[in-house]
Amino acid sequence: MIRWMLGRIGRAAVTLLLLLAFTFFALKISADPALQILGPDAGTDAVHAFRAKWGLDEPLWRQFLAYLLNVLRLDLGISYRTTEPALDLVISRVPATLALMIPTTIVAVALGVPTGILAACKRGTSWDRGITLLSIIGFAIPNFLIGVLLIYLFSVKLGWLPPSGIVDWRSYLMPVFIMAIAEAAIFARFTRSAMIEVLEHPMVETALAGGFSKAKVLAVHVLPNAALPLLTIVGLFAGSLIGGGVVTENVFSWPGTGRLLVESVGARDFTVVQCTVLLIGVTMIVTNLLVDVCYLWVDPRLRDAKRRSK
Amino acid sequence: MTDRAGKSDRPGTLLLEVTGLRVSFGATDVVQGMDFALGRGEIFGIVGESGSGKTVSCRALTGLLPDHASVSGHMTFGGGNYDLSDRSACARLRGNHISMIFQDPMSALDPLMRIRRQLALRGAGDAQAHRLLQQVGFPDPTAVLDRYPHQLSGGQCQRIVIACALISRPRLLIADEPTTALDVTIQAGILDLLRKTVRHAGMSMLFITHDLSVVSELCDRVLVMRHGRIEEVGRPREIFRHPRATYTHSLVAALPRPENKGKRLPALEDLQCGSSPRPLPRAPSINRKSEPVLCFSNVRVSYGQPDGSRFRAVDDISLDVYENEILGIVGESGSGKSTLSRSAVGLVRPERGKIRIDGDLIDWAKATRADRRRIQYIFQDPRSALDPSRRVLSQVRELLDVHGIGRESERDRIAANELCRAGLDSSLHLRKPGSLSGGQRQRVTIARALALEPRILICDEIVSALDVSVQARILNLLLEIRAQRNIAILFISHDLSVIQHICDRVVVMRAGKIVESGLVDDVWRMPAKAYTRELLNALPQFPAAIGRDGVAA
Repeated sequence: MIRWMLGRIGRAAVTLLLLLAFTFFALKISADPALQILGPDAGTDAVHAFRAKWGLDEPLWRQFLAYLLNVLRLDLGISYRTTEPALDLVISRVPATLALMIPTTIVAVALGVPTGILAACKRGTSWDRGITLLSIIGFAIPNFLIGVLLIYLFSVKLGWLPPSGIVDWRSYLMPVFIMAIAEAAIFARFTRSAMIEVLEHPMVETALAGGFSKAKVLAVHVLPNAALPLLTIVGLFAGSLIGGGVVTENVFSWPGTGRLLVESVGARDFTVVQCTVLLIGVTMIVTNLLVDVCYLWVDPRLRDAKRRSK
Repeated sequence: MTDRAGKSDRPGTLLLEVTGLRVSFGATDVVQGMDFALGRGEIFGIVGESGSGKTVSCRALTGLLPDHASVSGHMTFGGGNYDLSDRSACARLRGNHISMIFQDPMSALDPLMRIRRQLALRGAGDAQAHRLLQQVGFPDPTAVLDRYPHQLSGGQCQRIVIACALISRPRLLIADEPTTALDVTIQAGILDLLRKTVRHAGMSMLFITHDLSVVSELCDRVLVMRHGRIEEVGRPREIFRHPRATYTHSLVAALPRPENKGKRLPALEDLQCGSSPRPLPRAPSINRKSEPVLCFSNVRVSYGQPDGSRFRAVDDISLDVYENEILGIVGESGSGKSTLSRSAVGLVRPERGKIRIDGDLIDWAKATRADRRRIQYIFQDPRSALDPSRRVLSQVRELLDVHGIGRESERDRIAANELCRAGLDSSLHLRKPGSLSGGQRQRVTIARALALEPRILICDEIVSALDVSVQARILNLLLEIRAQRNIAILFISHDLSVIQHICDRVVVMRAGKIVESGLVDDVWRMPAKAYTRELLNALPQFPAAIGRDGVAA
């Protein structure tokens, strides 16, 4: 089991390294920050001075190595734009994003999972078809479209809700609703199929034949077993907490990491982009690791398989 | 406990009486009027082929059918009257007065729960759980209680399921094919346990199965069902010796037994028109001095295990199959019989050893298409071996295209001819597999394999999923093929009676090794090894039948 954990952590580290390399080289290839920041009319001397100041005149591999060492020291560079440390800048935006994403997760799970359960239990009825239709609609309509429509309706026409930024609690309503709808649609679909798979398992019939009520079978056997595949999809969503709201944050000018990412890409503020992507990657990797550990905790079959491989 | 006192049933009186039971799913009538009665302490068998309505009728008694089924009929049970269309009233009997156990024990238990909790959920305290587990044959219950289902074998799981069914001290146990998924030696143990438990607790049991031998060994009375109707009811010994219904007679006659070894097993139509079935062509002689068609020499196949060690599924096996011969490989699950046959066609790669076809050394990594043509493999489940979306004729023709057999304009005719020879009427050639029966589908896979005119045919449990009557037809077909085609057949089965019927020689496998081999009659009559004797003894005994017109004798 310990060897398995070490293996998983090692794999996470490799993923992180690849992520770092990818963002680093992709951004290097895409444009020259000196020209971007100083403008196309800057003199050669100014450009050289800028490059020397930020170490941009070194060979690429050396820049990458230096970058890696700095990352290990948690020094993610200085923002070209604001000259703040990039990490501080990104972290200062995290609370706003979490304040948006955590309610979204709660609402999405609270909405999606019971709907999926309902659809599975009423399979083949008009309940099921209605829920399927709704979840397809919820998933298919793009966030920005609903966002703009809602802003037009509730902010411009009715003037009930603030259109952008964080003003008070009412600011949360629209973005949370929009993101939760799309996620709830996915959760509902997954819950439904996971539930149906378990409902067809012979243990359900055995339990019913043993005199269990339908509700008891659902609570004791079906839900725990159906939760297994659901864990993966919820984990995937939790992993995108930091980066998942990019579109919505921009529609509502939300002062979170997603908006920062878009601003920084636009301004060629490489250090901040790298730092944000890194943070998104780390949350993804860490939640996946947690999901794997959860599986071990929940599923005795997996536990045995790992124990044997110790 | 007053409840207990009320449940102690005297034998001889009626416990259950069902009258006018009808079940239909939409417009399809599945059970069309059934009346039967079950005495206290009686073991009552319901036997029938798939689709006969045996399972549905028993589920109707406890309201366990899906909502779209419509049920009518009346039941008296332990003095109470029940209207079978009132599902919730019947459902209250479940797990209380009536317990049920089903076919697949491994998935009857919740994989995420310890055995202790599964028993506790059904109301067994620790003391009762201990006692029950001892009763169902676990000498050390404590160790088992803390296990998860996946840590137990199929037989052990079925014992746990039986223990669960006994918790409420039911008056009636309904067992639906409880041993069908188990190996024959395990089956013998479970049947013995069921018999003892039922007798000991004074319960009655409804035992549903397709297996006549199991019924005749276990049951006091048996009901034969077909197409949702009762064919006949009576004591198994009498019914199977002197069947009144032609259908029962056909079932008995279709069973492979020593008396009808190598003969054509009669079908229902043969018995209905009273003619004795046309005899099979004479079996050709086998020359075991010639070059074997398929030869394994010192083949070993092993799999890596999670802990890094290697598990030898096939351990140093040498085996020859000759022209015109049907060689049987028999063994329980995990004996390596399928792995061995798969290594012959390159589906698994042997770690060591050589495989020869007609004397030519075959290396499947470099084999040509012509090599593949010489050996064909038929799998157990024809449904998944065929493409569900294409007509069967084109699926047979496809192989002719791949191997370039015959002229292009003639391939459809060759394929149709092959299907007809496999017994599939030409009106069915343009159907898709979904609209064929299990036996017909298996004929398609046989035709497909034979279209390539292989030297050797490997049949991997090809009749295990089929009903007795369909199994009989396929066995007849295989014997015909052997007589007409100069082919060698490797026939793999877990069923000794089928092996005995169809094979010339047999190899008994266990844990990757050959335990015993020899002419099938010798092994059947005088097994040399203890394991073979164990397998033979575990086989449920069918009473030596005396057919009424000598067909089955």
